[in-house]
Amino acid sequence: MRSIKKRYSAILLLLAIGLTACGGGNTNNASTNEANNTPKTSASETKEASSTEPVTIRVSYWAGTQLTIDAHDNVVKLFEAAYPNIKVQSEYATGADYTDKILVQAASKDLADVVRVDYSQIKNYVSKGLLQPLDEYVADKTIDLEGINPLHTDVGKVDDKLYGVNIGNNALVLFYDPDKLKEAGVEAPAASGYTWEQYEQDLQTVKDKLGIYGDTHFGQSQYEIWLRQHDAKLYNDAQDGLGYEDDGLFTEFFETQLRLQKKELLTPVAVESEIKALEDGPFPKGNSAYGGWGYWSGSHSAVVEKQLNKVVGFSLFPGPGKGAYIKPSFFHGISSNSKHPKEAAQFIEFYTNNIEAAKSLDGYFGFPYNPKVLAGVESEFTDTQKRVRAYLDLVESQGSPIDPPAPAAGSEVSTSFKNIASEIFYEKLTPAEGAKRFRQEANKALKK
Amino acid sequence: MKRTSKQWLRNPDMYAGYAFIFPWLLGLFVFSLFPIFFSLYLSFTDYDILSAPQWIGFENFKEMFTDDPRFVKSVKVTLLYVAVAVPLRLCFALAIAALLNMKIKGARALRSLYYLPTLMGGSVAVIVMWGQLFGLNGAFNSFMRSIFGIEISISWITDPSTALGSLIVLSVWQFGSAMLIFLAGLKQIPASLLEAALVDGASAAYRFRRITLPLLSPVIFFNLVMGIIGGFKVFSEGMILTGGGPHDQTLFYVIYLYENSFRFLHMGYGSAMAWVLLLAVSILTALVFRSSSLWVHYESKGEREA
Repeated sequence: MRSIKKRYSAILLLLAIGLTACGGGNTNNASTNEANNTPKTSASETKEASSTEPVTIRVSYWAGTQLTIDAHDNVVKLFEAAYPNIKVQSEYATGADYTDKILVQAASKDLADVVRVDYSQIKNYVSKGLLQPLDEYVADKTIDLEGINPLHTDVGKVDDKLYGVNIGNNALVLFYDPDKLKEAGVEAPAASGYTWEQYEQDLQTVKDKLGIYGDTHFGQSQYEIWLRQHDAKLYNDAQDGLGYEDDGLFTEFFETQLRLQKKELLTPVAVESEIKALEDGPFPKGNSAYGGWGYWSGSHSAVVEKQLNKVVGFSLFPGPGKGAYIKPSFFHGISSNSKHPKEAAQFIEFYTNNIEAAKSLDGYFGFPYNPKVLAGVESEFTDTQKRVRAYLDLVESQGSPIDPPAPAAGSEVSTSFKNIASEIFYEKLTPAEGAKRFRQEANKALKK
Repeated sequence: MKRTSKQWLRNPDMYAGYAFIFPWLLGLFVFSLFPIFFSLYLSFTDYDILSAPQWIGFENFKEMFTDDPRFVKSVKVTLLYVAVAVPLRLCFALAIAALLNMKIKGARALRSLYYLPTLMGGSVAVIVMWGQLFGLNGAFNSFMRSIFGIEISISWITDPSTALGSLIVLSVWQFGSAMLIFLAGLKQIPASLLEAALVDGASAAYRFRRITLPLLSPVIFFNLVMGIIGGFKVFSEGMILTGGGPHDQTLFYVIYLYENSFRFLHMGYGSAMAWVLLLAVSILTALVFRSSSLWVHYESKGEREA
């Protein structure tokens, strides 16, 4: 008898556990459903709740180096001190993993409240309904964009609604090491115009005089600049094919690279293939005179200068200046499944417009564009930031507006570009063959 | 005593049984069976994860076999990997197991030592370490430079001609679990048989070939099947070390599947690839099973016919 009783109570216990597990699952479902509906209805409800109730918001961001993590965490600390009721949980991923992570989270309706979105992705995310419009928060000044030149904020608009707040301005830069150039007797790239011929000649001089490599190989971002220099674009307006007709552009770009490689003016591909993080590059390691590895003026200049422990020079890429463009470093967006959009908006406001935050960031995630913020931090700019500012002014004066964001198939096109570039540099494929194959593969991916 | 289904329902033991395995059943249905069949459905759709799947029939499969050079490349790379890495690992494991089976001092310690790489092999840390060992300035190249004075200026991991090879070596190096199974198999072989052959004057090689191998064949068979299945699923080594590169030289099937599903957002295509993989591995395994009657020796013969 006793044993039977025992057995039944064991069964009951197990069933109870099972049911609780189910129950837990159900509540979760309920809350996600609720979250889906939130954007439409809850803004007004959350407004009252926001001031006192303790709230935790999640923030996801891209980070490739410890400096990035520190820079972000410092702002979070300041924010939490200013808003004691809001706790911030940050999560990051590196490189391409970040985009993967966002998509997996999006598929399970588990995006962080505040999502850092790259320019190349914003259209894609909005079309998939991952982000909610921020216009109401701008209207009620939770996010205060007054007095800002719309040029800096309109880039975050899709179909006339604001989905992303620009964190700061950024531009691709060709770094150079002034000491090394001086030693080799090479003039620093002229701001008024630096030609490809001059660049090639300078690399040669550096190699002859110092016996070091001039630069790394150029990749897709430099190719896009090259196309812009020839009034072309990577994608056509409809984004269902390449934006240039003449394969000669591709061929010439890679023939130049190949020629530099054969003259041993560029670091060997074997070395470049092992670059995992920003700090591993030949330039930050002091092994090359120029750093054209697709560095951005924002965070990268700080990292590079810190690692080299010297002042570096900023130059436009060789070729006509119109190839250059200013890009928002990243956007802050609010996910459509966010349960705390108001607090998320407060966080974005703090990140963008708070003077203390801006001081702590020191332009790390792109250069501030709000005149009020600029006025507040100007006096405390580090020398690095002063140089970044001068460089951005140069880009603004010579460059042209940024190309539209890449289409959803952009990652496929990039993979194809990377593979073909690799085959060309390993000399398995000629640039002309590569041009044809790239057109074929890219068009196929874009037409899907 | 014949049980009808009703009696089955009344039997409290049954409930108890199901109650006890309830958590497992829940896991099976929610986390295994449902995703499996859902992916079968997805394989006939165009699905970008973020919007609703669109039914497109056999389009994914058609594209895979007629219009996707990277798919063909990934199949080639994976087949080459399996064809080289699996037999090599088995030979290596068997050789080490045979050595450890000899009565030598410290065999136990050696056994643990040799098993160590396998314990760690699956972990990310070891894969990263592999990258350090065979990188451009890795331990291997430094060793060659300092001992033999040979200057090697390639990174074994990222050079197109050696990348796949270095991953194969990594796989062979993780021979431990196969070795342990072989070792257990070797211990099962009656010493009397070997002694009898020894008395008859058979050489060591002859004894190994004619007695050890046939008696060990069921174990070889098991290891082979496991190796093949594992080989086709190879992912993390390539993903972490090479990312499928340089220019797709190590684009393992599952890496391409992952790329399609999560990077290019062709989850439908990725699902279709997963099912093709499942079918291919099943057929291959079935073939190996079929072939087993030719070379696998079971002691209790008559019952084997399958």
